[in-house]
Amino acid sequence: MLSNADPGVRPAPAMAAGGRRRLYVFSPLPPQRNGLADYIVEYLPMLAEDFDLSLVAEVGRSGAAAAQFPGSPFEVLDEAAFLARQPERGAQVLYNVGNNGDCAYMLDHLHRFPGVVVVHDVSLFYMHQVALQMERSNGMFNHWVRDTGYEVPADFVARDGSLGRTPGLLYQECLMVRRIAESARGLMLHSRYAESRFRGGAFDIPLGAENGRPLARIPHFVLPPAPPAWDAYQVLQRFGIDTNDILLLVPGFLTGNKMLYEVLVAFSRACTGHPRLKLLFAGEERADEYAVSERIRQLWPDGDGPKVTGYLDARELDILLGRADLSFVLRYPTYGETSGILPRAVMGGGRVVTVDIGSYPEFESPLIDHVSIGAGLVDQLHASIESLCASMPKASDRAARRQVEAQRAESLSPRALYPRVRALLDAAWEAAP
Amino acid sequence: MNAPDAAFATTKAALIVDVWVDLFAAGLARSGALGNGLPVVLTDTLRVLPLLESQGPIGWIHTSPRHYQDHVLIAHGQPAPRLRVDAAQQPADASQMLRRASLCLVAVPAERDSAVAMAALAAKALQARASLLLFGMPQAGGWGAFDGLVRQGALQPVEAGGARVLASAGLAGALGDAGLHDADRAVALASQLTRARQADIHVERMDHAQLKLRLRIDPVLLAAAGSPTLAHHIAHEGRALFNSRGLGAMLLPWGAPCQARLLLRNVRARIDGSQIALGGQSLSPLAVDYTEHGAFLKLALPAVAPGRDALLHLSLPRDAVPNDGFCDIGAAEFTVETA
Repeated sequence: MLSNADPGVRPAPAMAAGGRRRLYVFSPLPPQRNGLADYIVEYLPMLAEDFDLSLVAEVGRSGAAAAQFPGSPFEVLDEAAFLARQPERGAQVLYNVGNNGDCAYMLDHLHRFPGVVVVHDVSLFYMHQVALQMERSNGMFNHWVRDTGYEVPADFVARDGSLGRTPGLLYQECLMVRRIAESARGLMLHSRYAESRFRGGAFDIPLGAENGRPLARIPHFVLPPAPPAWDAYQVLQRFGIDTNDILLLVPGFLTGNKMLYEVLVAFSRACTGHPRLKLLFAGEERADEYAVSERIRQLWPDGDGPKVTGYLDARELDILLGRADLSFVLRYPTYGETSGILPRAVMGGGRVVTVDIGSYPEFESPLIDHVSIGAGLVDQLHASIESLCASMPKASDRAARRQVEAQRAESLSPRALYPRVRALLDAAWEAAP
Repeated sequence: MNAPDAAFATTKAALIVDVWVDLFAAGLARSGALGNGLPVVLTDTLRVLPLLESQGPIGWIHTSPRHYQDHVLIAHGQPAPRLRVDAAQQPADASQMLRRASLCLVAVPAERDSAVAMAALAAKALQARASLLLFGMPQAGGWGAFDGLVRQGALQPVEAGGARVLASAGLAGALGDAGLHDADRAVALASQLTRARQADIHVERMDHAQLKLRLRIDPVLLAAAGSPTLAHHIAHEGRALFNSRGLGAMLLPWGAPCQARLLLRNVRARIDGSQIALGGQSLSPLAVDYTEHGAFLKLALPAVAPGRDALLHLSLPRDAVPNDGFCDIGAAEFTVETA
């Protein structure tokens, strides 16, 4: 071979000894504000123990991501560096995919370099739409939609093939998972609901190890409860929470499907009789989806209404969840998200209200109340608040409930679930052609 | 020359054999010796032969999956997909192409499995009375798969420095005593191609059989799209585009170590921090010159390792990529020294 002593040449890192296979992981990575980044970070230490691990960041993000992991036993690569190494025998790829623009870059690689795909959201319609918008190729969208087995009514398709209009039903029904299932060498889904919908979306793709596509249902992990924060009092003060307040919380990004209007109406009804009630929207507002701050200003022109915190880091959110007396984890429509916010809210020890659709009924806890989507929803939310105010638990009860939930969560910790992840990777490796 | 230097020179000669194959085949095509037949290349990696392509279409038959779409230029038209056939997926197309072949260039692979498939395809070319030329590293693992073909076609060894080359009798005769490394033929060909404006190549003789080639080439001929969307934009705009994230790939003419000079246009910030990678190696630019035309990126590229695609991957810093358009490569120049 030629010498690598040419100017400007840096050789690729040598493969580690021991015959371990290399694993490339495509995922949003810290410091990106994305739940998928938080998800994959929990598994990295264990993956690094078993594989020569390389994280492949989107172009332009590898430097910031690498800075998050100084001295770590894995490398962070740019897409260009990954591509230059291909084809690479003895390497496996893992894609951590959710229905958002941060994952759009994976579509350029997922079909060419097949691997195991962790599907966090059953509908990947929005991700595909964003991918084509980013690439200024909207005209290809109808072709992609048809390829997934869905026929968009002609009224919605522009002459160039782009979607002139995108009714909400498309996001829910046109899952855009068929091509991903076809390319995948293995699949992970988090819930029975997600699996059944995924199988429906990939209707003609044979799944399972016998078909070269092992499929595993592995629940989203639940992290152990956060240790008591020394500055919890200051954080609560910052958001105007007093000791005697009855705190209602809407945690997470304030997207358009989190039924924020229904929560506002239920709260406005309840707070007239309960002056200690406070409602806090604990997350970053997505004003283009639902302008919640604007709506609060309209409903409470004196400025004494609910507050919106803006983006919170995980620690601050845990402090608020640990203080909340009632958390609303609502989605409608739900596109199959299986984020970890529901178990995290339960871990706080307060009551939680969630919907009875999608994967939400699958997480069970005595602290959870389910509400049905429909005309009576606001009444149900109102009743939940009234019920809470009528029987506020003692602080000692809350601590006991937290402990019970923490014990329940042990079987769902990343370390407890990791052997199933590893088994899926091994099954996919063995089933690969 | 001491023993390690001699070994290094031999290895380098083998790695750059495609430069000489390109020069020879382009000369054949220019002389009309190929008639109406199609030159076909059998390979398991993604390559180009720019000089042969300057004489007309080439058919590429691949025995390994390829993951990129590249283009050729059509006069007064938009770029069209380069004629590449995946032998495993499109066996009928591969057979049809080989039946039309007048010349079949076979890049002997390191992998025996690929070589077996390739030898079966080359046998079809032989049946169609195409001239065969096999070339590769002498130690390539695939040579054994061609033993039967070599006997059947009475292929003759050709002098090619450190590379191993076997050719049909007619081709071996055309190569003459000088073999593949005929500097006079190369200089004459370069002069003819430049005069006819078929290629912008300058060949300078350095010593007996050592040449310095400087090739300027339309970068659209080299742009490799890793996604259908990028391929669409390249074909539609006729430019060697990066995608909207600033990621691009470029085929290198030949696998030889070379100096490359690329003009990157429409970049909105400094690109010194670009990620540049070739075959598992990360590269740093030798220099970046910022001008009113764009940024000139100067690179020293190592040889493309056997069995690897001749693909240079670049990703530009995020702030260099415009929100309302694409960066592209506006001009490309490569300088190669043969051994």
